[in-house]
Amino acid sequence: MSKVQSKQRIRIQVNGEWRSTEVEGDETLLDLLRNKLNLKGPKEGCGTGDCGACTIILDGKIVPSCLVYAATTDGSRITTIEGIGSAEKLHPLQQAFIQAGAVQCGFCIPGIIIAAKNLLDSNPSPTRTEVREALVGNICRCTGYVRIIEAVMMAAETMRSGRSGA
Amino acid sequence: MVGVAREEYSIVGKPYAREDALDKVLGKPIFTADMIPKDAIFAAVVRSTRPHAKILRLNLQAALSTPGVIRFIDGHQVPGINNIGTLIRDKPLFCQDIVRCMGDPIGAILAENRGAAREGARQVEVEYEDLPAIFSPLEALDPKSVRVHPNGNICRHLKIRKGDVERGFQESDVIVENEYTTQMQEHAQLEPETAFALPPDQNGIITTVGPWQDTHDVQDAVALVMGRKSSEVRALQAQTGGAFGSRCNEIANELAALVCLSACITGKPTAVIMSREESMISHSKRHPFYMKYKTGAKRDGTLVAEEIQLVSDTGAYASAGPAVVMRAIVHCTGPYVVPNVKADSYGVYTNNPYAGSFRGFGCPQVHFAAESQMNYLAESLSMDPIALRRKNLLRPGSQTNTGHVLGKSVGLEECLSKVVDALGSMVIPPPEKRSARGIGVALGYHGNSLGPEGGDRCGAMLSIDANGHVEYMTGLAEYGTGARFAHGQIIAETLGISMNRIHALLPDSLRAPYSGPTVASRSTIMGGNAVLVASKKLRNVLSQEAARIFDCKPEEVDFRNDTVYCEKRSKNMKFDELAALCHKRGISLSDSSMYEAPKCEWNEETGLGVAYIDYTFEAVGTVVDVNLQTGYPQVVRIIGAYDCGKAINPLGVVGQVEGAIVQGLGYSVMEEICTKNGRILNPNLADYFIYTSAETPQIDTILVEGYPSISGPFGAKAMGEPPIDIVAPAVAQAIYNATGVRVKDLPAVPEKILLSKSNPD
Amino acid sequence: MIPLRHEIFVPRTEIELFNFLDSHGADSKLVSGATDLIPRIRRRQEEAITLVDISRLDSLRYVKREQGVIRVGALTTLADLIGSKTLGIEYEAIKKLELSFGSPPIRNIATVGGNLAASSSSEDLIPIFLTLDARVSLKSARSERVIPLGEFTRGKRETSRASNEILAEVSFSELKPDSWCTFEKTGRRERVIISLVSLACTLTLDRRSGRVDDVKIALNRVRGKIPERALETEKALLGSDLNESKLKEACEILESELSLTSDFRASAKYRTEVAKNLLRESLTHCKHCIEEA
Repeated sequence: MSKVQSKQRIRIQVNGEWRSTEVEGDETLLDLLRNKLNLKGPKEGCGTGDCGACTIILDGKIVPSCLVYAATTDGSRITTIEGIGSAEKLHPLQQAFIQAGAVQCGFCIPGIIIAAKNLLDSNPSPTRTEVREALVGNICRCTGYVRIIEAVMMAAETMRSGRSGA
Repeated sequence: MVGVAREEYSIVGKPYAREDALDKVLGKPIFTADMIPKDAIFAAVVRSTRPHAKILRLNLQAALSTPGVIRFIDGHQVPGINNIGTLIRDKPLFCQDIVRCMGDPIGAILAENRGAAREGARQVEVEYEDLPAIFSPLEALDPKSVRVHPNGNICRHLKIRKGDVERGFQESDVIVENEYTTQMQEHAQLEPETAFALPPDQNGIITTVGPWQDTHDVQDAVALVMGRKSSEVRALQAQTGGAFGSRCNEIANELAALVCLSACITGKPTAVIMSREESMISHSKRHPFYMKYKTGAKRDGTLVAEEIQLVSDTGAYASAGPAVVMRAIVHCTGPYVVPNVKADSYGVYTNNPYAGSFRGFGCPQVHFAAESQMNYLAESLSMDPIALRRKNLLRPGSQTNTGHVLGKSVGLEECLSKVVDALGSMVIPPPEKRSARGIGVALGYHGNSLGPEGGDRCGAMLSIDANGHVEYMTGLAEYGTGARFAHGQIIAETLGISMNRIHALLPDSLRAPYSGPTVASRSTIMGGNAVLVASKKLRNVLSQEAARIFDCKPEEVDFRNDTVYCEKRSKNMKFDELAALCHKRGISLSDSSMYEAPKCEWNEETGLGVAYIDYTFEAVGTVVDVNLQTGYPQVVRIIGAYDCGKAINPLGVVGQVEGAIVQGLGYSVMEEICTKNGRILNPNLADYFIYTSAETPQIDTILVEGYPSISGPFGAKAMGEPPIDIVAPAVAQAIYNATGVRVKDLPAVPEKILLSKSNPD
Repeated sequence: MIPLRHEIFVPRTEIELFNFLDSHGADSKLVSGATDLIPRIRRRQEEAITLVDISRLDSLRYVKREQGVIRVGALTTLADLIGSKTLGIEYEAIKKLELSFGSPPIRNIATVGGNLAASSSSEDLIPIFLTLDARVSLKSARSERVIPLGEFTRGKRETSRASNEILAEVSFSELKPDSWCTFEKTGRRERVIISLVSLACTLTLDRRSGRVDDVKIALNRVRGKIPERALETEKALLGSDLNESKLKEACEILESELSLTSDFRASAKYRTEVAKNLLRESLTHCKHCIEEA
């Protein structure tokens, strides 16, 4: 029988790498990622699932990591912004966000890129409306979303044409 | 200040991507909470739960026995002055005798981790004796009302007395009188406040890192609290997740002082991370305004007289209130020629949460009233609202309501024309069956930089290394606005080098020359002028050396494309070669320069004079579909035209316009901090509604560049704030045209529209 | 005493879960999609020592049709429910949740059971399932009982679930032919809203006469603090042809049935006005959709 414990050990795959880590009781996935696994990309903007800054991909779906208990993620696959692209080879979304002027303060960006990537993974030709709907859970207070939607559309086109983005 | 004499600029005016976008899209750990030292202890503030009360005693027993708690600190541990007020020193760091609003800090718990600190803070028992409290700003005008501070509730009172309004009203054919109110708006910057400090190093310097809007202010505030010299405090700005004014008010000083105090007392690095709720309860807000307007005009629409009373509720502490009172009165008539003006602008204290800096700074409030008045007037005169505006708007050579005769840099009419044309030619799908559609237009203006607040100067530091790479730093904070990178473009333009040679440094209060606060949309124009001065100086130094090498005169040396030329001698060399040579010869390629803005001659007694050297003018048009079953106003389209002087980086400017517009839309129809007896009822993002990607309409931005500013670099005008100023009146006018309902109290929520429509009075 | 931290138990099978609940059900709290719970815990409002997070029980995640009954497992996420091919277009109310219920990340973790068990006026599924005459299945180690949804939700945050039971499934008879189920929700913005008024309407028309054969209407609030059916309004509409005067009469009866309160979000007057408008709109819309189909 699974134990009720203050501490539990879980195994999770984070950005492609399996890791074993201890979690405490009601520790959220966000706190686990930031504080124990040192992944600072997902942010705490509200802690109540209202802002989207903590959005990550859990077993193929975007979730607010501040509302997921880490203890429930044993065996799961997680992707954070750190698992998307690199300075040497940016993901087309990252390239598009830079070029389209979609980045201002940057605090919402990890969550938004995650949500956008998740959209494009299942819907490579979204309409503008579909992009808006996909990003409804990600608040941006700086940009007004216009350039962000533009960037996602640009990235979708780049990905469809097979270019990796310069 | 027009920069290098060149018809076409090669870098200024081009849409470069921001340098720091790369780190941000990769999710690098660049924000304050990402960089907290592993051995840091945590602080959590104990805040008042009463709006106005005496603190009788504290019971710390439960708090101190909470596991992980180290100790409690309050005013008794403050070595210097227990105060962090900005414009007026009226706000204690830790209240010792009296709390004046909910959320007022009383002390702080220090603990091993964040959870223990928060729990410890919650366990502190405070015994209060409630005092009579005042929540109505209009009541606060009465000298006999309950006093928030000993000297009475009027924090500031400014006037405009121009001409003779009594005679003006007698000469008017039509007079329109109305009262308007606007609500408390919350910044909701995405990064909640956070800070950390390191204990004094071997030189006795305390370092604090945070998302500051003004590192020098923070440095000075901490020094005052700690009883030390400013030079013993080093404030570093980390990448900052939005601000819009919240971070240049008292909360920044409060948290910086708190962590520095703790670091000194405990000898341990100390951090504080606020939750969203605490953030919303404890930082400043936009001033709610009560506004009473009486406007008189001739039958042909010519404005004759305006009598205006503005009352802004600055809450328990002044914060930026005195400056908001000033900016509000300067702009109170809207951008029109009004010969007779009697205006009074009061900032009053109440026991409500305190109000301070918020993008727009009084302009959104007064423009809502002034533009709504124009619409009422148009109706009374049976005149087209656009024609009425054309009749009265400010033009080159016009005199403003403060008697300032404007020069050539007035692009308002062109902005209006462009918006009207765009509205006329736009193609949008028809409204849904259950909705009615309306269009609204508004005009506005926004004085650039600090104006009558004075002391407007900014320094910049520039350094070219032996590889011809340039590093630069100002004290200006940049929290997404892009201004820091506009500075880079100005440097690149002046030195004739490419953008990839330029690197911006984040502000370090010990190294950056004084730059003033990152407010009033002054970063591009003040910081831009500062880096322009500095880069011109270095260009001169380089020219001297190149002249020596080329055997020509310094003025015959030209810089472009990373190359230094002398046409006369048909000689050239690479920029980096020249830089290397300078270094070899011991010629300094570093400069620290100060730019001082022209002084504004404005008389506080009469309210007359030159309040601001330059104004940014603007026009906006909006299309709103109102759902007739629910009253919900859906903004479908918005078009803005901005007399921006020169867009140093058009991509950055348009990004700022769009962001400001969307904040303005929230202000118009959905954002509202609701309070009851001084308590915020919705301190969270589930009940405080800001625009999501679904509500954002199509936004079209037209940059009008034919009217260069008198003083801005390359003719640039301030653009960070103006676009938020006039959204609300345009939306209100559109709602009126759709439904016949006039909303005079923001926000224009569905309830106000639906109930007024079913019960017009 | 409200604990500072909570312990967590993540059962992998129903047997593990029921064994735990038999002994510890009284001091523990079931969680499936902590969208409501975690904000409460942050406000230190949760008394349970142990959280029992059942979100990994895949056996309770399904949407299926069996002998004329639609069965929805309690751990079906909102996203799964909305996307389910088992529900046809006539279950428009469910499809519309994509526009009115939270945001995509929230819909990926919020569950049907969690929504129903929260038993409050902000839970969109309750009015919708009330109009579908849904029943809930309460399961424990040794038994299973099925009760109407209206008997399950007793009051605000109060349900009929015993501490050793879980809400395992919600089920309802398939919509008869010539039926349509719709949902309207209004708030201060378009998406991600706390409902000011929400209204579910399931209508069945008689094919030959075009009159109302059956109608069920539920709102987020009628008289109390939880969603309820508007029974008087339903009665008045039965057998009618939904002409203009009937609609007007129904709105008036609804107004008399409603006893709403004002709060800082909206006044009772506004909520009542909107409820009437949404009633009219949803009836007209359902009728139109049935006739078009």
